[in-house]
Amino acid sequence: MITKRIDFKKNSVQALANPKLKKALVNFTDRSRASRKKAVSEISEWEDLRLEARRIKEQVIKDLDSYLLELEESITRVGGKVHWAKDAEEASKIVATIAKENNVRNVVKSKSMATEEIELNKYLISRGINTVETDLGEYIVQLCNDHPFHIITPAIHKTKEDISKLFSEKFGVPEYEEPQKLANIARKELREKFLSADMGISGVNFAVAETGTIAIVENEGNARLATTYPDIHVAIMGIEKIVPKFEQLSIFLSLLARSATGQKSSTYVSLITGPRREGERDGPRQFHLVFLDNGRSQIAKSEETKESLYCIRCGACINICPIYRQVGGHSYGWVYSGPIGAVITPQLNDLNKTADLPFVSSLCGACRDVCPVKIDFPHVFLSLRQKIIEQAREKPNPREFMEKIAFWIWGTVFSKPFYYNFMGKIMFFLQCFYRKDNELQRLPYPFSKWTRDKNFPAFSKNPFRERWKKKYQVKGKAPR
Amino acid sequence: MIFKESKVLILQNLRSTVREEKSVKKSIESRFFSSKLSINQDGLQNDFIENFKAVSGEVHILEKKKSLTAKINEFLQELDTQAVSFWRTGPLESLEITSDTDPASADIGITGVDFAIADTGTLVILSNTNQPRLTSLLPPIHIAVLKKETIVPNIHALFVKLGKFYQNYNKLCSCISFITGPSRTADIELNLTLGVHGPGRVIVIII
Ligand code: SF4
Repeated sequence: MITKRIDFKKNSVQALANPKLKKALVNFTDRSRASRKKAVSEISEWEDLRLEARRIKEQVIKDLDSYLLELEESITRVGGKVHWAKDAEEASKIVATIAKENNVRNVVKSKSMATEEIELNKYLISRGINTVETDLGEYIVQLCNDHPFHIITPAIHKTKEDISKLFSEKFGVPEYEEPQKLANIARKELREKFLSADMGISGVNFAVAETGTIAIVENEGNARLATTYPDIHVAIMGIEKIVPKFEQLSIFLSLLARSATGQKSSTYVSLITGPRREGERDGPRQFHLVFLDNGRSQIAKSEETKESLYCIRCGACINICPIYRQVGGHSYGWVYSGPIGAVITPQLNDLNKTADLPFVSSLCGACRDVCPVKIDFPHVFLSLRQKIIEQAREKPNPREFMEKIAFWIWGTVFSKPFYYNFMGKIMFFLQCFYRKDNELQRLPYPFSKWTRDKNFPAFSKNPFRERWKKKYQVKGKAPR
Repeated sequence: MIFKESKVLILQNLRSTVREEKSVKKSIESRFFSSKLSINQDGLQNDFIENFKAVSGEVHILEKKKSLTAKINEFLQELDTQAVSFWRTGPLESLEITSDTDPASADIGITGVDFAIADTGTLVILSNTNQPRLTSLLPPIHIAVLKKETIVPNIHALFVKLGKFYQNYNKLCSCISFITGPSRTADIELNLTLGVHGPGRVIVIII
């Protein structure tokens, strides 16, 4: 839950001032864009898959109540237990209660955005339950008390040097720089945690209503460990994660792997249907599934923005976004970043505190073009903006008045060639105080914000309109 | 802990959405059967090998005259270990290996494979009383014995096959694992590292 207003501008200015981060971001977004593109071009049915996935998701959100009941029934049939949580507090309480009832001391967690959203770690740790993130990136982030930077690769903002120092400090090992060695250290540390854990917590990528199967997708194997070794498995899912039919998983699994990391298939996919069966030698003895609402059922009600719930959390929109590429994940102020963060954060939280986010888009639509479930981002952005403006209208706002005047002047000047030319001339003379290398740097208030981060091209003595006219003077009238 | 009111509340919220009749599901089998794929079993095997190697997996084809036991013993010798954990199902039933170690302390886990997917290079393994999950997960090296005839062209074909296999989904096993190469991560500056949690080497023997 967000308690303080997210100040996107302030956050992004901070991020922009960090050159190391900038390099990491460019490197990361370039690579993930390229590998996604390649993976997508390999299969001819890509567009069909997207259409089908969107159709399925539309159907799911429309009938979400009956699908949830169906899923609950299926889970119960296979020996699992379903818990309904209307918000973060309830979900955390449910998990803590299961832990308490079973005397759980050590919990291993695999990566899950839902648990980030409800800040489950903090809740459990404050109640004396050791809770360890086991995805390598998340583990690094947890060791430095930081927040994930990206929903797929949480620690891209850390360099190898950072990590090797961190490991050396925490585990008393030499400062290795080779990633493979660092990974080996993490393997050893975390393996011990797995073998002593009494409970594993995971997220859910997809949950099949008809069979009660949950799908968990990953590359490292930590989710397999967390859902196999400990005696209790608790999975937490946002209520939108449902897929009606078992065989429809094939569509979503293909889309997810290729969109997220450009892989043909993620290294591991686990399809888990209930706890271990009689006679089996491993697998959890208890299986719990927590349905997390936390604002989602409200989104489902909104005709204009409910498609935000179709998201399968692949991160493709984040990687393609020209704004994310500059400002990175933390600027968005909450667990979800990039375009999906900019639409989902305001809808799952107080709109007043998150009103900056729907404006963090140039509406270029690149996110819509890559999204495997074809979320029409520009549309969602605009309707959220509309809502924000409408809410703001209810109170008198001096800024709105100023804006009106500014736009009136702008409109007048730009709609009449005469005014336009005239203003151009005036500007040419006025600009002499600010002009440097044919650029305007540091304009005075109220224009200073424009030139804070970039320079403005100077007004030319010989503007295009004049040159155009001159060129055609000889031949007679210039074409307009 | 049960929050009864929450269930009612969530369902109430959702019921106030616009209703339409549920649409009827179309079959997906034919629509997503990519034309580029090989359809004969030799072609599928080649595709599988190519794709599995592309994700840093290792593939060996069992020579005609050699027994599986001999082949596996070669690996054990090469890796200089006897700490092996293995299944005793299907082709592994006749395996003559003396020691069977707990997967947590084994150097090598040997399992069968129920299906494989050619166009992604994926092994599909079902869990049951004779097929524990940890054998393919805890040891640093996983040897998987794959029957050539169980390779299917793509993931859509696989799900159709799984559907037939289970007839009615009530009998679905507790865990189906898809394994596409060794455990990997790119969490440290996007460098590919293998074996961070699961096996760092996955060796497939095709029989
Ligand atoms: S909105 Fe679309 S592109 Fe973005 S994370 Fe979700 S599914 Fe992926």
